[in-house]
Amino acid sequence: MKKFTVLLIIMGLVGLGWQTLWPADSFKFPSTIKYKLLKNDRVVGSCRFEYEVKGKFENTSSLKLVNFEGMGLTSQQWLQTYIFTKDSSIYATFILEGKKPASEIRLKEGVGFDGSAGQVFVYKELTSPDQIQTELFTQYPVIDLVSSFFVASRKVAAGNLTKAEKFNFFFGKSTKIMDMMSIGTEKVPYQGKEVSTQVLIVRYNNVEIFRFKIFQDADGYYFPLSVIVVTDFTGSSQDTFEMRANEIQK
Amino acid sequence: MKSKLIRILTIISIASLLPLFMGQEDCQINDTVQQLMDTLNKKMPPPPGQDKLYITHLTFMDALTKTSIANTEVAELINEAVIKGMTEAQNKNNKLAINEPGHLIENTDNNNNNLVNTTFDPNLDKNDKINKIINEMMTPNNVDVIVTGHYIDDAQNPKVSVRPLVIVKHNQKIVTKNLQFTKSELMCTDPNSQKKILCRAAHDQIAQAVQELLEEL
Repeated sequence: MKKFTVLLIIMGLVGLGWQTLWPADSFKFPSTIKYKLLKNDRVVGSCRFEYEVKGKFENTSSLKLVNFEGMGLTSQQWLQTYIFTKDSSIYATFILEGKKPASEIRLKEGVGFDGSAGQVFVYKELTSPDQIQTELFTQYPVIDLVSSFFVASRKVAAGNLTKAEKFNFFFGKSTKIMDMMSIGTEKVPYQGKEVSTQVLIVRYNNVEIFRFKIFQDADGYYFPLSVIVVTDFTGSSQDTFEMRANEIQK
Repeated sequence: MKSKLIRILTIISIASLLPLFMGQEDCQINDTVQQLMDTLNKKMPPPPGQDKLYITHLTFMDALTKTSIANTEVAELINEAVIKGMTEAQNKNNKLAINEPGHLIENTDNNNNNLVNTTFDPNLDKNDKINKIINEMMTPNNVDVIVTGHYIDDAQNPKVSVRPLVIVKHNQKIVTKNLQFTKSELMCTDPNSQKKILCRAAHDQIAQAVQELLEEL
């Protein structure tokens, strides 16, 4: 009995030490999520979401949406976003064709509206020397659709659900301030069972643009089981478009 | 063809356009790109309680001398190109309203000087400057967006920089595009009147840049 108690204490201390050393690792996100693409609940394609803790740029993690199948786009076209590991805000995002970036958005040193130097986001296309620069005046984290998968999951894992959180959301070549907020829980089918998810919506000017249903699996991994894109902001369209996870790798 | 595809992928993510592509063959995607992009942009809602986004225009600033370039020959010519770009943006998106009564900052010396003085005030940091522009110029005049810019003609540099700036109140940001011209690319002479005019390509590039920036509000 004594030995068992000592063992429990040691295990507890090891666990505590681990948590103290690696507090950031308490959030677990799958390395791969396979999604089915559904239009009006009918499967029309698939794609894969990939996460690597270490991105190729210093202090970044890598997120990718790849391998689109079953639609007009080819699997040669993919999206990659690098986020700062510390706060999940964007460092750079690329649209790639094969291995070549067709366009990129990147955080850089630039000249601000008052002529002073500062950090700005620069959008550019491979085929054009033109650049569009966005200078932000809020401290809200900067996210895009790819990183929002990760950020929404992290928000649920952190239990930060009571109030709407603001983000500078890259939408096209520049940002819009959007809110991410929880609206409750919902059951979603996953691997033959109905599982409980936390529902987050992303709104622009009080109009819903994206809906995430975040699931925590038995091993403590958080990820979007369902991502719904609101394609008609007026609400008149009956079409729904959804990415639904059917498999993950840890 | 490729550049159009790139553009659509950039305007909104692949995923959010998928439903619009579904059921179409590869070659049809590009044909619908511009139309889809325009549709999505038009659908983005204006700020709560508003039907429109109210846009106004102030003359460019000389970023070297830190003064307005109002009342110069080049200022009026750039203004014409900027107004053309604003009008074309409005033609593509009917939620944009330009210089509407009750939603206007008059393009006067006084207002231009206010903008210049705030922009280049050495005693304010960037956030204070943008807050002052919003609180003292935009909000009292019910304006959502100011289109203005920098004009830099540096004797050390063979190129003139024309840089439209779009100040967006509700998204707390400034979007800008830097255009560079040699003097002969920028200023031409009207063969009929012998008056100075913007060269056609420069005029169109400035108008196009303003239009493009107004798609990113």
